[in-house]
Amino acid sequence: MLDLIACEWLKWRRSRMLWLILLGALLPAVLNFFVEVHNSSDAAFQWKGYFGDNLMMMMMLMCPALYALLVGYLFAREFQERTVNNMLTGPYSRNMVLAAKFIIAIPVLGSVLLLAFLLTFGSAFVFTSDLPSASVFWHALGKYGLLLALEYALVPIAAAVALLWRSYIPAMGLGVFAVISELTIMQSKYIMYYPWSAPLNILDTMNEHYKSTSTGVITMVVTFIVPLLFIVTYFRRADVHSG
Amino acid sequence: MNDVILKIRGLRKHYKGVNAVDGIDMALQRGDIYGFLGQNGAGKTTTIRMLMGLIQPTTGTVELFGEKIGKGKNPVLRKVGSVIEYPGFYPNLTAIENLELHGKMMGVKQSDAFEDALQTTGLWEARNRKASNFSLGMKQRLGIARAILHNPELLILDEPTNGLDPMGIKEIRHLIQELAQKRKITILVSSHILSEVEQLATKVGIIHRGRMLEETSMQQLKERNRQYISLQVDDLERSKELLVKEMGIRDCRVDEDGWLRIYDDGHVPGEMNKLLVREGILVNSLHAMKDSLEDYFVRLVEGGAVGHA
Repeated sequence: MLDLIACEWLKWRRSRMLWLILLGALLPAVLNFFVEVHNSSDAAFQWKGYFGDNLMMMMMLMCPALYALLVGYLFAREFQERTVNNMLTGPYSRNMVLAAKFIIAIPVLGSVLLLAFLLTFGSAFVFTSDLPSASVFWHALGKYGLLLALEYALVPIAAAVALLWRSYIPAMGLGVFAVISELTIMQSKYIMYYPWSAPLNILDTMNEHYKSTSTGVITMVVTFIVPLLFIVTYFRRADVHSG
Repeated sequence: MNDVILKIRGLRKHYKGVNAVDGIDMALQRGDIYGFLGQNGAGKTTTIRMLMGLIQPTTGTVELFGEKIGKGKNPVLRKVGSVIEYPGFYPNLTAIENLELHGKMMGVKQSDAFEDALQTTGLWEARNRKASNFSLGMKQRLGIARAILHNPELLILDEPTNGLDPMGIKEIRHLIQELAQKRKITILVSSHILSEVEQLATKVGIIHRGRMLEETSMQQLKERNRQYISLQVDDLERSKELLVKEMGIRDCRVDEDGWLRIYDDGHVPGEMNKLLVREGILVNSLHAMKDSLEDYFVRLVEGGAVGHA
């Protein structure tokens, strides 16, 4: 199993997708920076607010779209690059191959948020020379971690779409749909039932009236488990005709 | 050394009302170079995909080294190397990195295995080039390098010369022969090109419309494509009757062009000519001929003489 994980890691070497990881972290950080430049004359710099704004951009705009694309690429690249024959004719079961991909998704997706956190942290010193208090620092870092966990629950959906169509393009479409739909549904009473809007209300309060963490957690757990079971069943039985 | 390392029994794949593969039996013995011959769409690749676990058979079994290939983990695949259809590589990785990745998957520990595989296939100098920059011929060779990296006992090559120029075809053929001779690898090579199979294989399986028409050794096949005497006469029926009655000929047929073919051994053409002329039959032409594998293949596929000895 460790060998399979090492293989998945090696596959990312010099991949163009690494630029997307950098871009995915950089764009919100730059946007956040300029918003702060614009606001800096009005109010004193607040570490909590600075991290919060970056987190909001990552949560609402960047993560759903970028993660769907990265996950789609991770799970469907072998079909598109025609390396699937080689991947599936080794001495491992297909479920082990899938498991390796799910494991490697953690550092891949985590690197976007870690980079976003570090860029936000670093760029803040343009506005202040004070370090954030320990509680603000750990609270912000915890929120980035929680966002990663919530977004990770969406990995099986994007993976299922990519595997069904054997391409990462539909997964990318799913990401765009997710961003548009979450912005609509977050204003409704279904916010905690919709997998792309529930994280917004768990992590931050977008809709106080319907904030129910337990409902949100159930939504995310179901969102993780149902497509995961589908993938495990489908991928184990699917015929591979090309590649 | 005559143990069967691949055994296929009653393998069938049914798609949307069609049997792509229809009850195939096949056996490969250690040391064979098995030529899996068939036209495009005959079911070669589907069969190979089933035996590598990429496609689930509708019915039938595949046994590799005595172990059944199933849906789950198949550790026995460690003993098999394969290039199925197009050899795909990770475009962002170099040739050697692609092999390293495969080596990790197959549990290759020896560091010299990479150099050995690349030297064997003549790609050592290009090891640091990205696989995406390789020509098709180089990709085929890199595919073979990857397939032999873990020192497999069985190598499966699906149409390895597809799309290659004559020089490329020759190189790959030479490489396959070298692998069989020097590394003692059993090889299953599928092709729709008769001459390729004829030059490489020690055993042949002929597949057509999903059915295995014949499985035999190349030696037997060559013997079967024996010599015959071809006659063009003005009275076919009487000639046939005379040859059977007077010379005791048993295997005498009329081909589609109206020529009389005598397959029996030990008859002198001149004697036949003498007999027919004496009986007032005009012999326009008489040749000693030999069936080519192509003739045999065409006859077989068209439902002609199958397995006549």
